[in-house]
Amino acid sequence: MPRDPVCGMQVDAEKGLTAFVGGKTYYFCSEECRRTFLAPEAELRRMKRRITVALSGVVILAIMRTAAFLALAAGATLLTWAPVPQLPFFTWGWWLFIITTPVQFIGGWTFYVGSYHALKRKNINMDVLITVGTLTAYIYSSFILIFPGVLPVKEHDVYFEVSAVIIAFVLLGKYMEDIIKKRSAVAVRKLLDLAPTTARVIRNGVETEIPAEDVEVEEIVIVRPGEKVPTDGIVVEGRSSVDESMITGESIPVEKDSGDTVIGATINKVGLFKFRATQVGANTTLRQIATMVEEAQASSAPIQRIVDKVAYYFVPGVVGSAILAFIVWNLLGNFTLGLLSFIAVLIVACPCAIGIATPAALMVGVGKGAENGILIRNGEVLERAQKLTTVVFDKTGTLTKGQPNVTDIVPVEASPALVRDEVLRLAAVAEIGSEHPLGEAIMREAKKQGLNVLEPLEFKTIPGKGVKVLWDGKEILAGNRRLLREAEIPIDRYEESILSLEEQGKTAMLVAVDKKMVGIIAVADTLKDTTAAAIQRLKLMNVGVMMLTGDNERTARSIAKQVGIENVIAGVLPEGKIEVIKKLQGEGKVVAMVGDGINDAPALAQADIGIAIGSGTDVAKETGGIILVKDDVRDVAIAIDLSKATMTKIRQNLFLSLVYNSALIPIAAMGLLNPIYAAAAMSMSSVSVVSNSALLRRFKPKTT
Amino acid sequence: MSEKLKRAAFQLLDIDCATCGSFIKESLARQRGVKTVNVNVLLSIFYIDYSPDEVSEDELEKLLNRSGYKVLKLYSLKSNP
Repeated sequence: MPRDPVCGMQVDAEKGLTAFVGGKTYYFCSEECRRTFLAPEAELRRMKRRITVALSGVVILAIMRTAAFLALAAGATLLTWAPVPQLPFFTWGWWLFIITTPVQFIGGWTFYVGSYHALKRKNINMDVLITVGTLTAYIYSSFILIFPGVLPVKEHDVYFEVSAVIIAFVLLGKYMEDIIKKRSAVAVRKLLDLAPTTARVIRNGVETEIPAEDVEVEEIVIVRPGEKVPTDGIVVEGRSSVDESMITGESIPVEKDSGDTVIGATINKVGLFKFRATQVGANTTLRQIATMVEEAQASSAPIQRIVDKVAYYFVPGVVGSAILAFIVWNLLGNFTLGLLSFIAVLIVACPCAIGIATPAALMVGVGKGAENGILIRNGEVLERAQKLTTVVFDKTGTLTKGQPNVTDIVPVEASPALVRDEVLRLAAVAEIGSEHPLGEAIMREAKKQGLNVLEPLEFKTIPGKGVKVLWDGKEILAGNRRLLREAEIPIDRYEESILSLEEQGKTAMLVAVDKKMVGIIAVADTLKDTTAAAIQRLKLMNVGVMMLTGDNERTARSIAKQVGIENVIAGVLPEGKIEVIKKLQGEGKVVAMVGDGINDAPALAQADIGIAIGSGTDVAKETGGIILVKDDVRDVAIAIDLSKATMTKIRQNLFLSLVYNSALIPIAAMGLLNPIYAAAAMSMSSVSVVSNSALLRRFKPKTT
Repeated sequence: MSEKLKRAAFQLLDIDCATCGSFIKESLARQRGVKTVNVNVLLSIFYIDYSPDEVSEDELEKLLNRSGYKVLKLYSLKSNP
């Protein structure tokens, strides 16, 4: 069943009201909802009506001008023949008045509303400038018309068409701007359109179809091939491949098996599977991403503060120069030129283009990021990303798959009684409650060997070192050198075997029972396929790359060498990561830290930009300023590229709006710029800012 | 963000000038119960985080209506993620 996009109700496709918008049919429960939904479309229609009023007025004016010109050219005979003298009231000026009035008040209505708001707050904005400019022309001309002879000008010197043309141009520019803006702003709406409508759940033992938003946490949901996953959850039965491109930007479908997480709004390709819902409603990944994108698009970049300051002085400056131009021309004895210069200066300076220069580019840039699975939290992050000098990567889970496997089990000769399996079993007992990836690797291996692993009596994690448990009256230690040294267990004898494992890039886990070393278990984590390319790309961009890990120096170096990282800081405890970043920042470096947003949260927060990678579904909990939805390190470079591209656009926009407009102010003040051209120039400045920003939609991620 | 806050999004229609939104933002921010207001000036969409104990969504809509522009309610969320 389709869903009402406004109230979210299920609508019967046969009976429901429909609307066809943007190539898609929408269904509504009531006329009210339909109207609400169509309001933006209605806005465009109203805009069109205003433009029609304004433009037809201008066209008629142009025809009249041409006619009058031809009439003059045809000679006086034609004029005397014409019935104009018979209609004394409807002189030339009155005709202009009749045509211009609707343009001035219907076409220009919202300028008055906007001016009212600005003036109420003792502020001046674009609306005020346009209102003052056009009303000056209109009122002045009307005055000449209604009280002829009061001012020393002839009736032919009215400027109604100036006002009409300005309004027409500004509206036309605004309309073009709206169309481009709409096209640039699709990101969020496109996201929410993805939301699935129905879900199949098992209730009271029966498969029931319910609206997707009614799914409850912990409920079991069934997804058939070709269907959308209704909400976030964990697969409990069946397997399939799922197209996650709409959320992660990853085009290749992802295999899903029991225990894997699925994201709402992704599409199930081949198999049938059941999953347990973990997040519903506002907490789903889709909703979180949409909220974050909206927030980022509505945020402002620090550069905006400078812009605001400029804009603050810009407008009063413009009004000042307009008045000055008027006075100077009057002193020089040219009232008409003074009036026209006054209007031209007011019109040509468009604070609006300055006002949208930053947000327009930001909106497109952030939207483009979301399309590629790169979520940028706000404008501040985006602005800082372009200044990055150093990117620090966490090793495990970021550069590597984070799923290490046991590669070697070495019993030490001091305990000949212990065979390989026994060493593994002791280590597994120690690691049973551990959430550390190394511990998990050992548990997996023990399970694979079919070993019976019993729960220990007491369990203690020593961060950055290992674990200590009490089991069967024995004290088992499993961890690195530091752990055993602190327990005063001699390990020097085994240093050689440890070293040789480490040189192969493996992490050696030392196992000791009752203060005696019993064996070494080597665990290795494999690199992600994309890591080497990602590092290469960053180096090409002249960004320094560094690896940070709790592992020991040799293991870390061996991994680093494989991907081409020269700077390695190894043996860092979780709390030490912050210190490393602080130190780099102290050296004047702008540092990004890439890691998983939960374990590395403090380091991510300390870095100038925290980049949280691939922890997927709980976007809102992430600490990162940039969140990579997809588990692909190459996105780090793409995020930096996108930030740079967006900032370049912002700078171009500011240049376009500021420099180009201010250059025209002196020209307008000197009376060299007809107000009509001034209006054209000003609306083009806004249009060019918006369309220049829209060009950012062409941004293509470079992966090599 | 506290769990108690609600978020509502409104769009104002027919705004001709991008900067006008910021005036309306000011008056919204002064409203009791409104915690934060984010404005997408380009689309004149207002994202308002407010405490439902102190101000209702209808009151917010009324406040926006007073601006003279047409108001369109986009959505409201019960809790913020």
